Amino acid sequence: MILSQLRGMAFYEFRQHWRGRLLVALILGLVLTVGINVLVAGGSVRCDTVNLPDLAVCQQGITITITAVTLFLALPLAVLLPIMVAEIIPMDSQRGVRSWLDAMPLQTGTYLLGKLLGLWLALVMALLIAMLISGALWWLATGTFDLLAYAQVWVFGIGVVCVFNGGLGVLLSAGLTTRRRAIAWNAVLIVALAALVQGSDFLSYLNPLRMPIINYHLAVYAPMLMASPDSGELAILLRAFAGGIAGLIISFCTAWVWLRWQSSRM
Amino acid sequence: MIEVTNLSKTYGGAVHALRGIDLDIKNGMFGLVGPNGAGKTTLMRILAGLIRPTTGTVRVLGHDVTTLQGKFEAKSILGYLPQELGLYPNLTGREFLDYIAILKGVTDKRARRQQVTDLLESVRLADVADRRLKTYSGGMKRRIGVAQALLGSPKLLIVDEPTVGLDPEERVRFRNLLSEMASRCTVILSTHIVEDISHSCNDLAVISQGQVIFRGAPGDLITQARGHVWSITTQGERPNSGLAVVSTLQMHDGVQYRVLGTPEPDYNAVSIEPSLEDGYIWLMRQHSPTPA
Repeated sequence: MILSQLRGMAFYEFRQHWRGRLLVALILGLVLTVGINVLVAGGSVRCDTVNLPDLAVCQQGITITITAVTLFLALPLAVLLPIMVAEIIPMDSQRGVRSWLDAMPLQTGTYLLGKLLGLWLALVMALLIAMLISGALWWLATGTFDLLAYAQVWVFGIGVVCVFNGGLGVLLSAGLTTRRRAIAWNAVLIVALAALVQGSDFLSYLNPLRMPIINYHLAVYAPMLMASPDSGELAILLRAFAGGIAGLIISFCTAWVWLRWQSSRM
Repeated sequence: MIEVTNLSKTYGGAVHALRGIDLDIKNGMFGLVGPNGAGKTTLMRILAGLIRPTTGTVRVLGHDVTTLQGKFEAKSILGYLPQELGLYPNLTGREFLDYIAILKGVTDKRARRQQVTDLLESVRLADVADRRLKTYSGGMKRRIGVAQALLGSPKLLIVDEPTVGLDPEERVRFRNLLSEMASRCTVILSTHIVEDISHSCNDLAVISQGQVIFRGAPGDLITQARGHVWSITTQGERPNSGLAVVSTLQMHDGVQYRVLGTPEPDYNAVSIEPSLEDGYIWLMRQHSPTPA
């Protein structure tokens, strides 16, 4: 029954996100930023007329430009996404949905996981669309580019950042009961976490800015933009992923305890 | 079926919503009636496992809803319609009911679809089933709430003020639907509309200031008011303050009042047969502080 509930929640949460404003805002934001960069870069990112010895350099330049622009999107998203998704659970209380939801044979863990899965599904879909449209824009501007590098930066860069921080945003505000409070709470919390959770390698992996993930992709695809080429070690990326998962587990457990405590107080 | 023993609920250590309630509810349709703020919704919420009592025990079909496990077991056999029903505005009526059915554990897709379609028919929302909920009127939202409570063939149905916002025809239809359900499960209907109880319940409790002040059949409540209900016709002046005016009717030769109490002889009052509403008002008057 739990699996069926999870599937159902994921499906219908996804459907609601899909019909809401969040995904439209996300896709538009990403595509518009890429579009503006494509326009600004203009003809300077075409290699059609470049002679053979300089072709590799030219193509590397395109990869660097595309990587830098894509990763440039990851940083504001890392901060904005948790604020954008803050309302997901509090809106259930604000709308009065919890009044019947709490009367269902639905466990707290299933509820939280269902909400997360629905959001992640929606984010993945939105990012996929943004990636395809942005890819088409780059293709129009450059004629050709390194598709594998492009896909990797989107999937293991910006995609992973969105999954981690979107989930974090949902869980951090899970115990709140109004939209406004949730947005304010997540805004303060994300900025505070970004400012305070640092000082060691371990803490940098938990920091919501996800700099190790961004730095890894810059070091691999745009090494001249990076001061430290060590950032490109795969082990660092894996540790950053582990840090993101650990952050999610910690916040999931905190949200679970918080919701259980709330219901035991009523 | 449902055993409530010495149930009390205090909010913030100061507001006593329920004070030592004992109830034993059997199969069929049970009415819970009382004025606003009497503690009906608190009692309903405790029965539905949404809030914990301060003291006392509640057993629903053998499950103790004051324990975590018992609460979970009870919820799996429960249909609940809260007073204020929040909806997901971006889902259609059909999707919303399908979603609820999944959460209630109706895992078989075909059975779920059939149940949703049947319920949409019975609450007369089949023609708007594929419209988003944000486009529904207040009455339609109420009806979709009723449908969600009936999903999953519950053994206990708790409905809190279900007919608020429904037009007269819908209210009759809904009362019939509940009566039909009562042949298959226990239905607890909480309301302050006495008419809803009189047409559908064979057992009721009146609750006031957190206490049960009457328990029995609707007929017993009516009997309490017998000999205290009068019809008085005047040229316009209201009957004296010692009487409770139940209704006022403008006639061509004056104003006809239906009153409760003991009218003075010069009113030429005519004794009439009490209704359930008269019985309820008479009871409330007996339990309210005497006006100065």
